[in-house]
Amino acid sequence: MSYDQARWAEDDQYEPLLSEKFNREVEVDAPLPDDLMRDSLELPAPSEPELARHYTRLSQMNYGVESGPFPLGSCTMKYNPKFTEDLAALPSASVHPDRDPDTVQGTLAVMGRLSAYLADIGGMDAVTLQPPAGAAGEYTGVLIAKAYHEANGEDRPEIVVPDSAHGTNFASAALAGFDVVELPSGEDGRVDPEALDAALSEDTAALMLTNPNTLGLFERKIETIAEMVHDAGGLLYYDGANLNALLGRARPGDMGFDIMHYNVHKTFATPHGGGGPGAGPVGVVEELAPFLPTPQVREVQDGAGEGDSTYELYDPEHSIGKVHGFSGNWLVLVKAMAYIARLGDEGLTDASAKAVLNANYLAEQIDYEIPFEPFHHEFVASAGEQDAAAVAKRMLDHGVHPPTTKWPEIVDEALMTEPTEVENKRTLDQLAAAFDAVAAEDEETLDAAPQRTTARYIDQVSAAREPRLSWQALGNEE
Amino acid sequence: MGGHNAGSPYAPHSPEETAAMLDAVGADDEADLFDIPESVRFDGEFGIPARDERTVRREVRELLDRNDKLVEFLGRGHYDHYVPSAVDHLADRQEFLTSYTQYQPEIAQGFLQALFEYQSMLVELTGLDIANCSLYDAATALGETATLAARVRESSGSHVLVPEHLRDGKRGVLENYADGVGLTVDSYPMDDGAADIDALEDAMAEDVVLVYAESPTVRGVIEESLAEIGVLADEHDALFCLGSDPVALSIIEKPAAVGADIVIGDAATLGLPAAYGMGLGMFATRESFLRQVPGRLVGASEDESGRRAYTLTLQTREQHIRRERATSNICTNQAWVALRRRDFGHPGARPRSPPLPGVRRADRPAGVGDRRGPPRRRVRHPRDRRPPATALRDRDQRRRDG
Repeated sequence: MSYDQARWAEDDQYEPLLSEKFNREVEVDAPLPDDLMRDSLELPAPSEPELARHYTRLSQMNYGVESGPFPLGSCTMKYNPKFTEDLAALPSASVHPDRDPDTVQGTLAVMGRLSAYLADIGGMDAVTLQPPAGAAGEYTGVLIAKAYHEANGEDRPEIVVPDSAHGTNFASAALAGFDVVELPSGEDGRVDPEALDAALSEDTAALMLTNPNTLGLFERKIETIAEMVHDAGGLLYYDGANLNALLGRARPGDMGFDIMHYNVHKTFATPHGGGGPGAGPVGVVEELAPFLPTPQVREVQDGAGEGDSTYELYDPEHSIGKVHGFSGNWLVLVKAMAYIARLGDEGLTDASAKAVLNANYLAEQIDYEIPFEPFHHEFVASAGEQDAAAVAKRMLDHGVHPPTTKWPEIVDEALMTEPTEVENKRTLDQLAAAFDAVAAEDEETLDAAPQRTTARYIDQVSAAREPRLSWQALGNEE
Repeated sequence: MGGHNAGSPYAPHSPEETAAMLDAVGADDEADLFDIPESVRFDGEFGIPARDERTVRREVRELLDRNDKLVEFLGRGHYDHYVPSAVDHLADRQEFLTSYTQYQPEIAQGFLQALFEYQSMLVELTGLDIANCSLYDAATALGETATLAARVRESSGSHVLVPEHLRDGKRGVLENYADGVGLTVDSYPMDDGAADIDALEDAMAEDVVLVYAESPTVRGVIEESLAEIGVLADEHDALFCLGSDPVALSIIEKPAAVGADIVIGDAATLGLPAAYGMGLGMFATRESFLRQVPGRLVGASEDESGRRAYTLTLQTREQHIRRERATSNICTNQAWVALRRRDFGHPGARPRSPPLPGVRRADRPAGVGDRRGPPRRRVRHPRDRRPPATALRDRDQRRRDG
């Protein structure tokens, strides 16, 4: 397969900046004293047709899930169903956050229903929808752990995180004021109980774990791990980034996890939006429910029939307070609720089955070595003698989005690959052909890539050395 | 709808394809591919029935119809702005909506440029040197500001001062972030909806690292003492953070000109309806804090063909590289909301004539805030760190002329 990305270019740049085409300076006037008012404002003022063309061209110079395969490991780049967009765009979904709960019963009903779905899917007892992203979910989770230990009169300053974990785990623990204890992976790529034993102590607040881990491997000794953490007085935190591997097959709550977050922009097919917004709801076991953020939604009475229940907001007794100014990324939550309702038990279970089948089938077709198995929804291949980052650039020329590269570090020149359930055999074969074509190519070809994308290879090092972060900064150079 | 597959409608496998793929991997059944110990397998059901698309649409629509249809005047940062249709249609293009963070910049120039343009607009609106390409909302942006203040503090300070009247959510989030870096949050009194500047001066006696003020305040008042707050912060080696919104910033004095080190706020007002508080965390600051900025930054560079191209930059600040020493834990942000900004026309500014009729500031007797009223006391900034507002204006003018 081949692909030439659109390239709108003008002289020494691609599509000119809005400011270069449409900037207009206006004097500012308002009924304010002069010293409270700015003199002028200089912003682009395109007409609608000019604006539409600008953004359409920009969109053509961008690659989305519908453009082609997007096997970006750990990111779960699923197809985002269209109808969920329509629902989030309903005028009835757009309500002011300060409204009295009595006047937003519909919003609260959707939140209540989504919370119940997520609790069932994760095997948890209570769920907050407030965290606006996965990392915010982690932060919420570790705040809950902190509050729980404090309520028990314990000072536990450490969070244990495996070396193969997402960078956010470390950063979220640190943001909550914890010291991070890094847990080295065992030779089989999983948690080594001996190393865990050495890491745990009376200072341990929690162990954060992704299961299956970032190599796609299930932590077979999860029950032992849970027991060890609990015996040490700590809590077990589940990073939901890889939940798409387990839907309907296993639940974090049944494995002994006490707290978990869900990445709805991964598992539940809400769009990644070029970086966000996502949502990172957090589920907890009953003992931790009093620590959830404020406010929580609950059903107050069962009416005569379906849809007659009313909902109210309440503050959990020992709440950690707020992690978002309001109720998180509400419109994203609407989409997630609709996706789960569309799939139901059968669809969710099948989504995971097909995601795991696709990863295994793709792995079987490619020439790169895959050191760790059996993996589930994703695998980490090694580019061997090749530079994984260069492999990725060259894959762009073969019309596919490349895998996540150089991470986790436990695999040399890692190519972390997650095709998700949305590819069929034909597109997986095309993806495999792209892998194999690149595997057979020499260094020179790789170094010259990419050739067929909008931009050629971009020098990120010099961008960081002399940061130019605005059109004003570009203008000052001239 | 439903079709080919009894399971997920978004998994395109025909039964024949599934069989061929299972055969290729040497498995009899999909279940064989799961390496899950028997004791933790889930054999139950969630009890969620699958529904077709039309049924789900009807269900969700019926649920949402239970929201009372009201004309909202609740304000306080969230307004019932009209969002032009062009915003939805352009932002919903799949190349934007379904794309990922731009870690492969060569194939993501479009979104990177849109974010670069967003950053630039915030630079113009705030007068500050740099802006990031989004945080979650104003509350978390304020929280991130506190952690930044703790990292760069020049004193032994451990207090953050916020206005007495502040949204609970904002204060709550701030308290959590502040607690993580050992800061405590105190409030200074307000008088008539704006800062009580004498009381603030008294409060500064404590070891303060960050002063936060808003304009408009939560009571809807234009804060007149920003320049004085800037000077107070400066005299006490504290940072000054201003909370505002992009529409207000198009009219009020540039925050940089009143000594603001950081500007935060909710920019969702540019292109998102009042989505039950879903936001767009705005964050702009001075160049000197560049390496302390939380979240993603888009920078201009060149590609191998010598053309200007954009890329995420200074990523060594971020969690995926710096881990527990990152400037923030933020990864997923609000990029698509930043893309939705309504950027045709100038948000709040109007041509100088004709003037807006009948509008005046709240909480002030007529005449006091009048343009022809007595001039307010001007506060000069210490020369070493911040030029006075007029000098900045002059510099801006020179830049425009030059």
